[in-house]
Amino acid sequence: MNSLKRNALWCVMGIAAGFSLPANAADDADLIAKGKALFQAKICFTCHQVDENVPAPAGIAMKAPKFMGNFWGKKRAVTLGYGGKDAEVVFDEKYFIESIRKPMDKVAKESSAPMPPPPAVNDEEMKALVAYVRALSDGSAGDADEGGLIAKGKIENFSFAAYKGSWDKLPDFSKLKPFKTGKAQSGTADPGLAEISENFGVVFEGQIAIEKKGNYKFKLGSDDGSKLYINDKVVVDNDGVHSMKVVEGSVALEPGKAKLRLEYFEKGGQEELALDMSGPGIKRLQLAKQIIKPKSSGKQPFPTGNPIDITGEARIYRNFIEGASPRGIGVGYPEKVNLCFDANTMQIAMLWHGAFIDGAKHWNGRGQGFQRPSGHYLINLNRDQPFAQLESDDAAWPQAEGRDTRAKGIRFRGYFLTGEQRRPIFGYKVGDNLNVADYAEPQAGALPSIVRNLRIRGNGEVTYLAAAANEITMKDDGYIVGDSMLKVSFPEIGDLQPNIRENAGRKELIIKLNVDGRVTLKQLYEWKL
Amino acid sequence: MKKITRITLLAGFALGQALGLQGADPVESDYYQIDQIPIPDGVVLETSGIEMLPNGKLAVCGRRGNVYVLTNPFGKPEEVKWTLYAEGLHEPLNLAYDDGWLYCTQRGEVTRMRDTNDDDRADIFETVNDGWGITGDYHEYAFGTRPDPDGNMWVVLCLTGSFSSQIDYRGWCVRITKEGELIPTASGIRSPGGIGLNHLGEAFYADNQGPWNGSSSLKHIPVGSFQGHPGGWRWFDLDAVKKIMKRPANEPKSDSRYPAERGRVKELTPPALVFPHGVLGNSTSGFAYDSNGKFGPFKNQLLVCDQTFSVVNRGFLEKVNGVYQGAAFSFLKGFGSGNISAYMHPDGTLFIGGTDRGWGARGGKRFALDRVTWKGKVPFEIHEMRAKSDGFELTFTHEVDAKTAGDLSSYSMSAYTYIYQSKYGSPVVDKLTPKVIGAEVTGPKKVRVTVDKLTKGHVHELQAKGVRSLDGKPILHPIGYYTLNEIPPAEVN
Repeated sequence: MNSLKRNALWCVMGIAAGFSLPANAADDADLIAKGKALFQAKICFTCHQVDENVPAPAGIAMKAPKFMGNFWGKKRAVTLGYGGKDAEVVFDEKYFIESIRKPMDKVAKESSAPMPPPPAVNDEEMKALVAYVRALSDGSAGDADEGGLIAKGKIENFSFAAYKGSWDKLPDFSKLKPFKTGKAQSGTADPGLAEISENFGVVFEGQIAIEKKGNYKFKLGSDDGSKLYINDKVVVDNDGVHSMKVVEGSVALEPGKAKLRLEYFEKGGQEELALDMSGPGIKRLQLAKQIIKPKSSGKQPFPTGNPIDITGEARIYRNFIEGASPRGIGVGYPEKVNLCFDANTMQIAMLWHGAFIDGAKHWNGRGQGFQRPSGHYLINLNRDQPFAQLESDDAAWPQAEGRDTRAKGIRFRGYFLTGEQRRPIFGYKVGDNLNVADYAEPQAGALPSIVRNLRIRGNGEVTYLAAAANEITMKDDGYIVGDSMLKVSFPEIGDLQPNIRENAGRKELIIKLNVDGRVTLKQLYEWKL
Repeated sequence: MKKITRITLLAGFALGQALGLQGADPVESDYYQIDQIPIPDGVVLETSGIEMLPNGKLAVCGRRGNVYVLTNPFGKPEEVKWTLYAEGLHEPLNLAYDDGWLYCTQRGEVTRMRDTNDDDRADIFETVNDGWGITGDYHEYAFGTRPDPDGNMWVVLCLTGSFSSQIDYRGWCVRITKEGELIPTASGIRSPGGIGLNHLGEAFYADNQGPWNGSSSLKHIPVGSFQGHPGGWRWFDLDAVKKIMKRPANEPKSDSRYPAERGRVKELTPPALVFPHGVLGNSTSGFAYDSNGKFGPFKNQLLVCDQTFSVVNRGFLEKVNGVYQGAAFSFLKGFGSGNISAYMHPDGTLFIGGTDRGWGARGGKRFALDRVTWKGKVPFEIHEMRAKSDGFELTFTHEVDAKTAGDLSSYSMSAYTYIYQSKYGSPVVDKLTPKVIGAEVTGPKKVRVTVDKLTKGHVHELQAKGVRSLDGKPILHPIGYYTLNEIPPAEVN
């Protein structure tokens, strides 16, 4: 309902001003945006690629048509029924609708399989999908807000500062150090100025010339969050992690210069920012828009939208986690520190602070790919198995090679959730005679840390690999590991003796254990910033 | 209102019968009731596994890795109480209760869990076996069964993608013993949609249309068999496999047909039930069966889900020349989402769970849990369709009207098959129109249909639209799709 009102308003203003807009340009803008959202929701995107930087892996085997380049209104070779007679159609609205309603009737000849019927699409949704896909063809899909545009690039004394970080809400940028600052001639706030596509924020500042006294309206759309300040007052608050969402606000302004501050952040996935202004004498002024496309990192976008929130208990997320083998087990703790235990190697593969992880990658579409941990201060640890029964002191440590290479001589037994906080104790068997209980205890604080409690029961000699890196140096009461933020130490170590050995071109921090009944070992993982 | 309609219908039917007219045709909902169990706000349960617990509660799991326990699962749908039992599992695709443990098959392992401190939440998650490989490809699903009569759970492992197997046992069926050992069992799996046991404890799994699978189907898994897709054959080189199984002497040839390749590759097991693609479904998945007749007349027949069509089909199976084959029929439609999991309670209540994520489904809901109960009336259906040397023997659920059942024009038949090929799927090929040359009513509920020609390997689609029951009703689902892997020898009198 809101968006209808908004459309009407933009239309009326366009007509009143006598501009020769396409009759439904403003409608189209919202319709295209809706179509874009439906393209995701109806899982079209899993097979049909629309952006050269974002592959659609599910469509590769099926050779699903890509909606890229100039395809709308063009001829297309099809077969009448899958594997049937050859025919030719024009890729137009009629064909598009038919191919969704009856995917088996006219199958694109290039495809190696007909399209599985998508979720039901009603007539209204169909209009939006048509508008979006048609717009993809002439390259205007990204310009979903072009309709009714009167002027752009009017921010004066325009400067920007870009920041790196992963947030769920706009941070206090005044406390952060930008990695990039500059002035822009374009006069349009463009998040592309940051030149990265994920985990960043930008603050734009400048002025707008106001000629007439009156009430001015601002329409701020962003993916993820944004906030607009005019004359140091919040006019539009569109904060949080979300897909493209438009929020409006208005403010009374006097003639002269109005101070503008626009804050924006992007966590992962698609990024978008759009700010339009209207009011006395200004029909539609575009103040922000993504123009510069960030260079693709070659990686898939980092999806967000299903954060796994941690409240009173530890939570487990067992899935494909980037930085671990496919048997990663993420654990998020209320102490705001998280880890990923790798059930292939029995090693802690990663540690990080803040937000735990987002299910978006695996809980949408077919769920392909590895999800990166959320949060910050991520430490990737060496993933070699933690225990080995070495034949000699200088025998090579068994290596984790490739994605699914398993720890040698170790069998994963599962985990037990303990205490009110339901923290997991991982269990595994080393050789025939040793059982390990591996229990991480988070330590709350300004900079939380982890104590890893290892309890080894049984009989036999075994070596523990506490860390491995190109460099391990003793510092104070512990060891700095490589060039990471990690410091490890061994509280309550008793008679046990950590040693740094040189092996296969790296340093290994090892502890030899002779287990007769039971040995316990504590290792503290701290961040040194 | 409802009552009045029913009375009117009955009266109308009686009058119609008196005048030789037909009454209103029966519909599925006259016989079976589907209730959608509301899933509480905030709960996303992409229902992938369903199992009854000994305390009368129902355990359900979903693709997001969560497990809920439902109190009062047979009560009014809106009064079913949901409790979170476990979360954080890796896309579990079945649940099985045994020996005080709730088992599930996650992507990377068979796990068993239980609640040890009586707070109604699982706190121990024990890895029973994780002996297969996984690379992180989203296709690498794993489906498992309940324990078979020997205590083994059968697990089918999807290939890495559609075509190849990048890591141990992708594209294989393995059994996991009670002691947690893995036994390599069968090769040739492509992309399973479900696996289960029949009433004899034999394993069947659903494979989906794609390379080497012209149509989705349900396949029997004999130990040592090859199920059609050679993408995972490299694992014949593993020591654990070499010890117990041999690589087939011949590889299947692409662009062929099943009968020809069965001749060359003796381990090749043909699909027992083809669900013609785009006709009965697009994506065969989980199944269940009624073991005691409390769900109607279809005791021990397989009730097989289809994800895309949001339906449950019915399969009658028989063994001919040592090979499973049989007829598939439409059975029930109107489910909430894309059906993938099925559980039949011994009292005759069928639970069906579904999700449409990643592959669309007609049901329309993102995910659902449905409950089906039999209303006690027997629909007029083709109960069994058995292959004979020269046609088929049909057994009906009710006595037939001898005039229509014995009339040749009540029947028509077509036969067709699919290309057995390395390319994705297949069009319908080799279409034939066998002529129905005989329809002999051989018993109150039996008709012997003879045709001029049967073709080995073809789906024989029999339409019996003209047949009426003794009380004048048409067949609720009058088409049988018989997968004729073997033609039985002529009976000796």
